[in-house]
Amino acid sequence: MAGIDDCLARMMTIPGARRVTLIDCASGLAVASAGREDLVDQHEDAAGATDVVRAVLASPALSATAAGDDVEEIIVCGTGGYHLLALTGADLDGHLFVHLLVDRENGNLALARLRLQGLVDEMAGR
Amino acid sequence: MADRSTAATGDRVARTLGMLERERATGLLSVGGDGAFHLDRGAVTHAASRHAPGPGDLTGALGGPDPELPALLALFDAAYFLLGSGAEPVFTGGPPAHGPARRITAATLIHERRRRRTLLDAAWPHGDADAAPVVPVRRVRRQRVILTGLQAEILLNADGRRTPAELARDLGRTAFACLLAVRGLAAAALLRTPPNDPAPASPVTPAAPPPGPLPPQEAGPPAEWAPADHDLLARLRAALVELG
Repeated sequence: MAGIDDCLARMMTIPGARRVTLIDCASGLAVASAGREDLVDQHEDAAGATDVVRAVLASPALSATAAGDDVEEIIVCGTGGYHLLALTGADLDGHLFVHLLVDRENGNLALARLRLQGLVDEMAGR
Repeated sequence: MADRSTAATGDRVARTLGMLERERATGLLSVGGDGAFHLDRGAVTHAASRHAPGPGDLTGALGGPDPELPALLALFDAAYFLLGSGAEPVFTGGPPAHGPARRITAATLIHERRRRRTLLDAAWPHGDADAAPVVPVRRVRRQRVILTGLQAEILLNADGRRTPAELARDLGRTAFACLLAVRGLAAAALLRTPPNDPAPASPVTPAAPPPGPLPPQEAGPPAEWAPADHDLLARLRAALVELG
């Protein structure tokens, strides 16, 4: 099982990765991050990303099944880059999610998703 | 608990913490019987509150990742309650605490506490349910209800005696997460909130109808659905038994 900082460092090796933050879903606290130094902005961003996750989880319109399936990932595509919000799922008790920003020029969404999911699983000890 | 603290009393702990940071003090800052901060050259390295679960309580739920994660979440969780405590902070110098230490500044903890209070108040602006035993309502007056996983856990595990903080420890969740979930449940009218001390529940139970023309219909239950008269029911039952 890998340490968290080690996992985040490896997420930064995903092609196009600009920054990555691990966030506590309950409080919106940025627990750990890599790729950026600015702490104040990082906390503001973490709080904003948490609002998005909460809104999606609370919205039955965004569920794929009538019973309500679990959300694994939320992707926001901008003209400059992609935001991947990967929820860690039941193994971490829904406590945490990873926010990865990938550059559009240098990154590849499909590859980033695949690599991120693998690293999130590893971090959760799966 | 958290919300009894006024700005003045809550500030005292924050001010002391800020002062110790400037002095680069090392030792233990006790906050009455509520808990304590461990300081190392001015930075907070550990915090424990009797209202918040410790890293060990969170570890079970967090499972896989390295122990730093529950330690960090527990520190911020405890700091939230310690900074809101009205107790007198007392500093004792001493050697730094053992174990791997993260270093959090007082300003970060104070900023985070303010942010979390805003989140709580946005969910539901009343703190009535924060420290009281969690009692789910018997009847849900809505067609459908959306809950988070944690809100469902709280309703399923509520026994009418445990408070949100006690449930947090049992469920291996942070106390703040449970407080936020409970505020959401209160906002959705899924919890029985404790009656306030002043004006005991007068607006809830319909009083005798005022004389004169009928007032416009209120949102409450109509008069024919008033609470049953238990004496009348007992006499009715006795009469039926005699007939049978």
